Amino acid sequence: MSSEQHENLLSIQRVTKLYPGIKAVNDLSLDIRRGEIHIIVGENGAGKSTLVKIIAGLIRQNSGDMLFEGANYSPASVLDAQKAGINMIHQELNLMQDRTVAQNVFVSREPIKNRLHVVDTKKMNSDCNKILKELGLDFDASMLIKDLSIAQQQMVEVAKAVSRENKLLIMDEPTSSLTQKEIDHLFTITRLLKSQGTSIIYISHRMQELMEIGDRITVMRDGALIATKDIAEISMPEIIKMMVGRKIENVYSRTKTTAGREVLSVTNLTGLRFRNVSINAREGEIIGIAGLIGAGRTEFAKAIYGKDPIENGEIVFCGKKISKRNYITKNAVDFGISFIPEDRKAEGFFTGMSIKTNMMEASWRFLFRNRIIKNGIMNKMAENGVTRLSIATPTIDKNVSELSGGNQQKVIIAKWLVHESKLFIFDEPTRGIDVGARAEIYSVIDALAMKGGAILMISSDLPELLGMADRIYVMKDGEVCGEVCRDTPDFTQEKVLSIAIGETKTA
Amino acid sequence: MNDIFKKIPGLMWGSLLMILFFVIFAPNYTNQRNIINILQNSAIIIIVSMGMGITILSGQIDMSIGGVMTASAVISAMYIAHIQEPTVTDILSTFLIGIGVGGVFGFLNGLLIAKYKFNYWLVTFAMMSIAYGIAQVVTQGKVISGFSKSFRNVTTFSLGNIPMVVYIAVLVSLFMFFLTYKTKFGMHIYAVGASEKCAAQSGIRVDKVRFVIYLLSGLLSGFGGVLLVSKTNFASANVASGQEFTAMANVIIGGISFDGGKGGLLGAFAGSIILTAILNGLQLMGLSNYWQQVFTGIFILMIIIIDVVSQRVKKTKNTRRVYKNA
Repeated sequence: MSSEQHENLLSIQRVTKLYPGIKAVNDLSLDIRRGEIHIIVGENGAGKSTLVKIIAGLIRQNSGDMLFEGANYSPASVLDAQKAGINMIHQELNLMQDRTVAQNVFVSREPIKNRLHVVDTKKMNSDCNKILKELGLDFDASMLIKDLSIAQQQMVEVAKAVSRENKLLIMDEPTSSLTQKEIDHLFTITRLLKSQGTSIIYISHRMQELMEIGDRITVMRDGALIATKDIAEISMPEIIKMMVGRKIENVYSRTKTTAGREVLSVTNLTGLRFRNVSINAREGEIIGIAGLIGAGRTEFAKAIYGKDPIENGEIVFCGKKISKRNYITKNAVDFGISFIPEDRKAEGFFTGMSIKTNMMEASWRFLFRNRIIKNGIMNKMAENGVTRLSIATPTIDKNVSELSGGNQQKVIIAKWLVHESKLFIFDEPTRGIDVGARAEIYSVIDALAMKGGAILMISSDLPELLGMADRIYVMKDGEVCGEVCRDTPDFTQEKVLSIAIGETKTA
Repeated sequence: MNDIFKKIPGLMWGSLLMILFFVIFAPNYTNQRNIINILQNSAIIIIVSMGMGITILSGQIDMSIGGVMTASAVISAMYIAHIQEPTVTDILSTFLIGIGVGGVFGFLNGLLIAKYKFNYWLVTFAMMSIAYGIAQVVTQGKVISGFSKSFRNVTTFSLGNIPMVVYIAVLVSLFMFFLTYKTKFGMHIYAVGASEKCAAQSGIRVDKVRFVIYLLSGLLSGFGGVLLVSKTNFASANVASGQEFTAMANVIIGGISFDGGKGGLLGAFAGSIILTAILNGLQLMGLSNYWQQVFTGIFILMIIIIDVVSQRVKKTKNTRRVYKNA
């Protein structure tokens, strides 16, 4: 018993974290040993990030305990975690662009010269250079962050974490913006830290890398721990199998439709975060777009919707070529393209305004008679939307912010119904929506397809994609890496996920 | 050397070109008297621009600067106006009163914004209105003027042909440079401005830093108010109206960005002199005062355009680089 305690640096005991509608982490227990590199994998939304955020003191669990070096550990803030020796390298960069490397690495811990609190820049720079050298980085501590490449900036984040005293270092997808050379480099650093006795928790989607450096691997799914294994004992297909083993709930309603005319045809579209994407969608079809976070799915959708710039390639909508120049969202709306965004609160509706106003947002031009808004028409249209989508509300004047996530999503969909769109782009249509409301959203999507609309559905929820889509395009690193069709043997979670991870390629 | 050139914001080069134009074409522009005139006219705005500079560096803004200057000016003027032959103590008290008035406003700004987390725009805007209002109430719409020579000498006495107010501005600026470039507190202003979240996660007491920033800005505005009375020999309820906008213009011309954490007070210092010099040049060229505001506005627009466009280009480049390498 006592020897085991000694071996475990961090012991997570039955930790649960609840978010409205979901258990992000569900009764999870896990031990991190001293000096090991512990990999955590799982699909998008499996709860990996939530778990490490709890460990790093960014959020607090609802129940469960943690033991760190045998003592009770419950950090109230990031500072508490840092004091204990737990640091985290975040997925996104959080650096002061116009300051030097040293100023960033030592922020809030600047060495001072005298009682006037004058910062000892010389010492700070030389200390920082020492760390950079240790990490084998070839830029100087006095360089400005904005003059570094993104990959170098990511390495500054690493230096920042490494410069503190570390017993446990958490890396949350640190390689997402690194090139192969820098990834190799990061691994060298990781091994170096390990050899110095630091434990490392490493979250990543890049499976090959993990097999290379990890000691043990934990697979998470739906907030729960599926298995923890020694890397040597497990193979890639086994890991993928464990990741996707989600049961498919019977909430999907997909009516078989025959695809009609082509609505959307995209050829070799290239934009900021995606390259050479070619897809097409016909009337009555639901097209799924799968991929991991950062694969460029949302950016691609936003380009079709005229929100992000298009650099190259062609979009043909209902037989009409869309000119790249001056293509803006208003054109997209006028053509009949609707976008239901992932972040409802920020992009989907006007918080604090009524259902009625929100529904009319894209349709003002139908409401005017002689340049005056006709309240009667507006009310009729809004009432119509509420009944068609059975939105649970006593009145169309209710504030959308007071509705549940599912009903808010319906309001956003209703907005486009009023508008008679041809193409509906759904970005994560059921994120944060509970199961009951999800079923209703699915039937709305199905109904849209039955009425001849083409649906583009971006989702990280594989069962949802497989349950609804006729065809699924899988994106990875900004490119379409594969397409799987319903009623073929490839139409499985395993297949889609292994393409998204880069394990297999289809033509 | 190359580094220094890179560090100077693009617009500064345009401004310097414009000044060169005046040097060649404006009558008497390089005349010693005119140069001293420019320095004298920029001195007080330099001091308050330091306050504006640190608030903008920290990612926020202090809109109450002009109002606080005015309130400080009229209250200290009321005090000194009654004294015919002021002693050193009297003059010192006048300054303490003015700085104190500024301190009170700064304290309130800091308290409401840093501690109670109210919106900085609304708070400093309200404070601006209160300060201007107090000045109106105190003066009852009258102009206070005619102060003793000794009080006026604090700013107007010439040492080597250069009036005292210029020396004072330089001293205050040096202090502020030291504070922002050299001390831990200065580093923290940048950190808070660049990313409040990041600063807090690194262990910086964001509320404390913000409080001190607003307090400092208030104190500097208060000081600027008294100096203004001493220099212009009058005080009224609109003696410093609109100064917050001039200070803002100076700070932006100097390359401090509204994003926070970008630029430095050296820029605010240079920006103050440049804007004053340009307005002075326009005046010498025979352009009426009424045009000055138009030019200030055009200037700010130019900066925004240069700033925003260059950032957009860089952002696009960076994103693409990552995905090309992938």
